[in-house]
Amino acid sequence: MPGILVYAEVQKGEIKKGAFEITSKAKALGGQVSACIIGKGVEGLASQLAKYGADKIYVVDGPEFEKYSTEPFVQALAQVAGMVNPSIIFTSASAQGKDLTPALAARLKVGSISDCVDLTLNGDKVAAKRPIYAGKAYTMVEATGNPQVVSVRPNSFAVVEAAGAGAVEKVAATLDASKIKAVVKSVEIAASEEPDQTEAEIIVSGGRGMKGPENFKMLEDLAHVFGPTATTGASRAAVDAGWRDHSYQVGQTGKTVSPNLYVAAGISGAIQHLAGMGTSKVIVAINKDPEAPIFTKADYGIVDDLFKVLPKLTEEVKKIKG
Amino acid sequence: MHGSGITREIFWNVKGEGFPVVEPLTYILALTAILFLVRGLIKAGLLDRIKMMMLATGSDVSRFDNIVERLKYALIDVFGHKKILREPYQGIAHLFIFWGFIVLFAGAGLDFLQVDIIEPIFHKHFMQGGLYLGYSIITDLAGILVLIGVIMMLLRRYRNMPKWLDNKPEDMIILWLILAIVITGFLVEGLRMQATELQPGDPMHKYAWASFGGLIFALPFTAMSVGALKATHLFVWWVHLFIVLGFFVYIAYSKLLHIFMTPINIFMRNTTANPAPIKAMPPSMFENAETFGIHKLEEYSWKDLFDTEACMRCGRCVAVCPAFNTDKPLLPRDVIQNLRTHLEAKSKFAIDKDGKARILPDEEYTGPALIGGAIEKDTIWSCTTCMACVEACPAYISQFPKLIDLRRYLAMMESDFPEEVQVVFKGMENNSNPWSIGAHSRADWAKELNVPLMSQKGSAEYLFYVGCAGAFDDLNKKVAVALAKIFNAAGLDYAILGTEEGCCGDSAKKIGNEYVFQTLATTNIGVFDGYNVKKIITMCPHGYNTIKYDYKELGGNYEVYHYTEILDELIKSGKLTLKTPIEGLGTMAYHDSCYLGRYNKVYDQPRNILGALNSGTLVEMASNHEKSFCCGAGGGRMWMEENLGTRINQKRTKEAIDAGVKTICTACPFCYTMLTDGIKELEKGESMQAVDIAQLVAKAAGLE
Amino acid sequence: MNTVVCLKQVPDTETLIKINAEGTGIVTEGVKWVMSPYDEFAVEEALRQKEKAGAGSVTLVSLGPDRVIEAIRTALAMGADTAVHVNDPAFAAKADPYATATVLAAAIKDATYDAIFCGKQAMDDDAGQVASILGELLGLPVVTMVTKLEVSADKKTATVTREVEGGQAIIDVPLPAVLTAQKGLNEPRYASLPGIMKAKKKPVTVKTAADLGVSVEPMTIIKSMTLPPARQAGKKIEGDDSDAKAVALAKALHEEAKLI
Repeated sequence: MPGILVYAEVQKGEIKKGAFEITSKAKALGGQVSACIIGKGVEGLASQLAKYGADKIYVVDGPEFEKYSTEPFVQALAQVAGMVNPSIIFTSASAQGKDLTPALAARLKVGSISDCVDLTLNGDKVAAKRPIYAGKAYTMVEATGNPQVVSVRPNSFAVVEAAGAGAVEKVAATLDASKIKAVVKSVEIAASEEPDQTEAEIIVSGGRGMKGPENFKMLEDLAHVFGPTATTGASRAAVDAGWRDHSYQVGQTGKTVSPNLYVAAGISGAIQHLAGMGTSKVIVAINKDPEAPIFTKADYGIVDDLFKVLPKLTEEVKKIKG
Repeated sequence: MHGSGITREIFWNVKGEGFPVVEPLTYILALTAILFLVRGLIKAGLLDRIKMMMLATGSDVSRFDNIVERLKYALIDVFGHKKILREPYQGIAHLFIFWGFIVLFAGAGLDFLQVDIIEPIFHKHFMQGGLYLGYSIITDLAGILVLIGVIMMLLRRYRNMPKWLDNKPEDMIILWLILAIVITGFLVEGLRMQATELQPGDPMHKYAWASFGGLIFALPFTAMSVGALKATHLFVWWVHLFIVLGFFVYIAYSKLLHIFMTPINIFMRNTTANPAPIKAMPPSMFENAETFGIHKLEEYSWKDLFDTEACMRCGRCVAVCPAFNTDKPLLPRDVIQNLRTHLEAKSKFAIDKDGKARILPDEEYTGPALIGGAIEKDTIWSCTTCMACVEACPAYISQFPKLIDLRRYLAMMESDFPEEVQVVFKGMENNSNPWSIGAHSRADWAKELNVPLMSQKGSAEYLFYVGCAGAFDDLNKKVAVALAKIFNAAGLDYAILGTEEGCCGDSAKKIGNEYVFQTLATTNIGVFDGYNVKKIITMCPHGYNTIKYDYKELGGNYEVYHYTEILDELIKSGKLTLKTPIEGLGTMAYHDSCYLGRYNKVYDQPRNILGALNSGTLVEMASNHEKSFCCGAGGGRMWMEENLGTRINQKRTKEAIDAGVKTICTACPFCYTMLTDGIKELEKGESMQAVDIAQLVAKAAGLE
Repeated sequence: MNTVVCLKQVPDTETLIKINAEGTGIVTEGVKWVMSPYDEFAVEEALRQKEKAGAGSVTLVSLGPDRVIEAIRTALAMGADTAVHVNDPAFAAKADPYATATVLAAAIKDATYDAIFCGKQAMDDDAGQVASILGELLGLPVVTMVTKLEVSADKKTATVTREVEGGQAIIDVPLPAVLTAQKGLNEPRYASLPGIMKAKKKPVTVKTAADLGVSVEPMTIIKSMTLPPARQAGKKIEGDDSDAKAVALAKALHEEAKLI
């Protein structure tokens, strides 16, 4: 059975959901599951990981880890890896994980497998499934080195409660200051609650069918109930009409987006628009005109008056979300 | 009629006894006026401008082939006012003044002939009898016509000034001068008549009616004594003479120069098959030239610069310009006029003290730039290449192609174009379509339609060149499908190229990226010629035009048809029968595509087809045929944001609304898209529709 | 300012991806190859920094077969000065991110530069690893996902803005460093025609494994390649009235698509 080390990312004082996902997966694969959290004042969070299967939790806590910075985090995690000597390291392919993982692997002089969506185990060998060509194909990849470093795309695995031993060990990081060259001066988290369209997991977009700027409130309401990873967008027609700022425009002359869910309300689906959102994973179209080209791209289509559908949909999503 | 008594004394009251110096003085004055005209031309910079024209390096089409044919055309156009009469009000006013002046000039010539040649040499007096009466009637009529014409023009300038007219002092000076010439002329006649033939007992009294103009102008003077009449006559005669001579000299300094320059320009008109040729760029140029397109005046052709001489600022190009009419900063007239001003300004730099002209290196020239100075970038990018300006111009000036030359410089040398165009170029380069949709899906529309592929069929009478819109755009795929069904039903021997087809490149060319255009065009030509293609049917007028004219420059020679030409023929020959009536068309109008209509004179076939539907009622919108109004998508504008002014497609859609149209019929994918959008934007989706003619034909043929 | 830009040639994002018969890679026939879009940001930034500094050079380094010269010419047309094209069949089947970084490091190590630019990831395998490994191998600091870069006058340090979740971090980094370009860093220029013509004459040095004195073994191995299951046809949500349709849609998003 392999020893697995899970890096549990902390953001805004919370362990990210992605960390629980990979801890759950590590547990499901069997063997010893170690986890590592790095940050300032994060010791108290460690026990949460036990709930999902962490047998041992290494805590690297100190003021130097208040802000994420590649080199100190790589050194700390490498130090923990040296202690654990795992055959597999899991990280989350979040924005931070995408920066940290290849650097960590390079420090350990091994290769890594990025952004996996599925994993299987053959003895000690991980076979990871990952999308390539923007999801137009998948590869099964194995790593030859030891440990095998794998980053996992968030939302790939379910969070499953399965208690692990949960022993917490504080690690005093011994950082090689000469290697820490880049210094993070400040981190600005945008005041806006809404993520940028290019990052959002859910986009609720409106077009000419919205009839006026005042009605975009309905889209904002829906995005709001979808949660903090949701935002709103607009078609060129809505932007041209002056209802929405250009920064909202999705399409060939606006932003190219690829969210998990794209809701197109009152958007006919001109080719320029489709070019900007065609790779969305699930597309929902709400339009009065059954001939609107958007329906040919939509996974779910509703031919109806969006002013009736949207409020009800918002209400329903709110109910489901509890 | 007995002739000898019916005459008058020419130069009455100004010549002969008591006026020994008048006649020589008149001639001296006339000669002086000619000298002043010449001096004026030089002072106003004509020689310098000609020097600049001679410096110009740009290529041009032939201007002096078929001289007889050119002369004939120019004479007919000039004297027949063919193009000027396109606008009836201005046309008639100009016609009156033009012919009036010719007759009056000829009349004066006859006087001169009588008095100074025939009489002194042959001692004959031919200006009498019937000839004299005819002369009187015709010259008076001419005077009246000029009077009517000039009053019409004055009313237009003062009372009904169109917004596209730019009133300058010279416009008023010229009109008032003309008015003064006619009025003083008639006064001279009236005063003479009152002093002579209207006096009781004068032998000419009963023929006074023949000088009906003078008769009217004599009325105020009936109470005057003969002596006072003579004195007044003498005075007015001199005034008249000086105004005429002044008018003559003013030609040098004003738009009156068009009297000479415009006919010359008509003679030199473009006679190539391509109605609006853009400078040829031979492929070898890409390897050898250092600069592409035009960023300084001297890079234009001499004819481009001569065009600025022929422009008399009539503004007809402005009146029809879709950009101007939607409040964009493009007035074709001003492009030409600003070029003229720029030419004058630049001649000061380019011509040294000794009068020698040379092409200035960029670093030596410190005056205003051509791009951004004489012509703003927003002007350059506002053009839809609809050709309305070229079509409207009575002086045969080529307006918009001059902007494409500037676009070429911006696009190819500076990569300076509206930012949204970059993805269009990249799409054309990588996937051979402006939307950047995977090239492999070009024939997806034809799946399950039994459309023959050239690669399987090997050869066919017609290549059906679908074009990017028909292949990739959901709205226009419906048109491609309709056409395929029709061709199949009519048993046409045709095939498509499928994924071997590439973008025609028209948009790239008109945006100024000749390099991408030629890359696309030569690839297509290679594929066409590989299948030995002779005849091509296009769905899109833009492909039609560019394959027909532009591919020829790159060695591609094909018989090209737009689908409306083919459908018209199929219906006429009975190979296609339209039996199924189409419900709900209501009042319908055909929207002329610029590239089909103005560019290629295909006006009747689409209308014939619509007539053959036996459904709906066909009407015309206010702008139709050669005066049709652009949809806004030509010249690559399809791919640019329309940030300035109002939207062209909405303006056109409003015309349809004003004509009570329910169904706007198109024959161009760009027009179809733009007008579909226009209807949506104006929220007329419930009561109106845009539809392509091919879709209607398929429906009527029961192919849906 | 002297910079090195690593670039990769990848299939155009719109190209139809077909899997080869062995199931180990894609069918390369009929593929339109382009410079990886994020590498365009990298090239553009290198050019802008050079223009800003008023002097310097931009050197391209690319690993791949003969066809890669097209991507190199594209970057040269944008304005890069010279290029090193590492072209050796020995690398062909082994060029995983680690091996690629090893080869690039060998090609770069003797160059003088103030910064190395890469795209944040290549648009084919989307791995996003090479720059980090390259930095490790060359002993240079790495800043990924850069959206803004300001280089000090002496070119010794740079202030870099990088994208982090929900915002941005501002980082001081000594030069030379490896920087990866994220969308938003700049708008890549469209190569001018004279640029395209000049690019044909710019020097491109071809290097083999022997020239570089490097041999590599991959650290990751592609076992198989498959296409995703075909996208299911869209579903019209039916219902008696608007409310019923809205309820049905919410249910579908929750239960089928698992998005709520």
